[in-house]
Amino acid sequence: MTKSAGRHAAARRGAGPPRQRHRRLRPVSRRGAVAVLLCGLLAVGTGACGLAIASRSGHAASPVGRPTLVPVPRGQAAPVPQPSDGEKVARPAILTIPSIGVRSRLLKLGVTSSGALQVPASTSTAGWYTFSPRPGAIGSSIIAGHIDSRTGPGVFYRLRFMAQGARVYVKRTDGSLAVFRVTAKHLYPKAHFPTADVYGPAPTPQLRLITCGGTFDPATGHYLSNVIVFATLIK
Amino acid sequence: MLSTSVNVATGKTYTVAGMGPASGLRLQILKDKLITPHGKSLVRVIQASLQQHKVTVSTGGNVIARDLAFAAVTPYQTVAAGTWNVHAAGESSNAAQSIKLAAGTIHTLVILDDPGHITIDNLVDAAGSRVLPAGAAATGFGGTAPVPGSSPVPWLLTAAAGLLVTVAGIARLRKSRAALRMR
Repeated sequence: MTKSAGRHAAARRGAGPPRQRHRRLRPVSRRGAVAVLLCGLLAVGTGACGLAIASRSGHAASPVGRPTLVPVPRGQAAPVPQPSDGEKVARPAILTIPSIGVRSRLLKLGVTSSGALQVPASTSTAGWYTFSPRPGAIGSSIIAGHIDSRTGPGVFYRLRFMAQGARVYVKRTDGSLAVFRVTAKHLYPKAHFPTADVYGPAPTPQLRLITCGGTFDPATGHYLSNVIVFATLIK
Repeated sequence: MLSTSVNVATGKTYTVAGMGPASGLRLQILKDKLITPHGKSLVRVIQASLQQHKVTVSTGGNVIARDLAFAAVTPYQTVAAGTWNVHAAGESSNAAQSIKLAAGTIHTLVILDDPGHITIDNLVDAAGSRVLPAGAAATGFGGTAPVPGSSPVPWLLTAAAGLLVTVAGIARLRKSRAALRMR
């Protein structure tokens, strides 16, 4: 198209002698017309293909599928240490949530240099926040895990599907087992994270499971909300 | 059997304490607290000793209860986090105990009678995280998030422009054929 347009432009500008222009006008005009036609068709084709690809490039949230089957762990339930020292409870080692197919060893999490909750280095492993009470001791113990990696589901991918009453098992380093029952699940915008409800003092042994949720913002590479599951010790 | 009535509010916590000798036990309702100042611990004292009429309790030299009478309860007091040597002094009996007060924890120290002397019972009312993380948790990279499709507008424009050019090409072709025929 540009080539023929150039030629026409050159012709109109009268670059060559009029005699030459006259002689060349007809064949150039016909070839030019064909070229213009082909270019037009090409552009229509390109536009149509582009439209087809654009309509297919978006996709919905990855299919959920079935969670992996995870056996309910067995172990001696350790008594709740009242009065005093939460450190009489052993450290948590393995998290099991049969209803969403989670079985993960627990990494140790602290805080980042900016003071935020450190998150597990692996998206397939959950972590226990070591500045929170140990699971089974008085207070809310914090366990965090990723909803996904850049390419697929993470350990807490199905956390948002947990129902009230579901059981959460934490096996501790001494082999004892703490069993929790889910009491609530909420989605909070990250700008309004309920710090006091999650990290503040609680009068009974409780558990908070944290992951991401809501809308993903590709510009920042972060989800805009957190999913938090609240659970309480039953034995 | 003992009974008492109490108004409870949602989101609040309470302690019910039975005070007195077995023959004259009374129930006492205490309001608990569930917020600690940043990096601190909260402590209150219940004086439940019948042997000692007045008890003074201190943590590392700071008096947190002075001449507390039987069945009296102090308000919660802010104490710096740490392991403290807690000392309870009655008129004729003393008790001392090392107690860990972690940041974010709320304690009730109960002064009780043991045969011949008083003791300190350390109860954890509530516990939270020692360090409160700032803000939310960054627990996702978006690999399973729905992706919006790219905009169809540029493609539509391309196709429309192509259509115009095609029409122009056809017109031009016709013209050139007409010119050929005329020749």
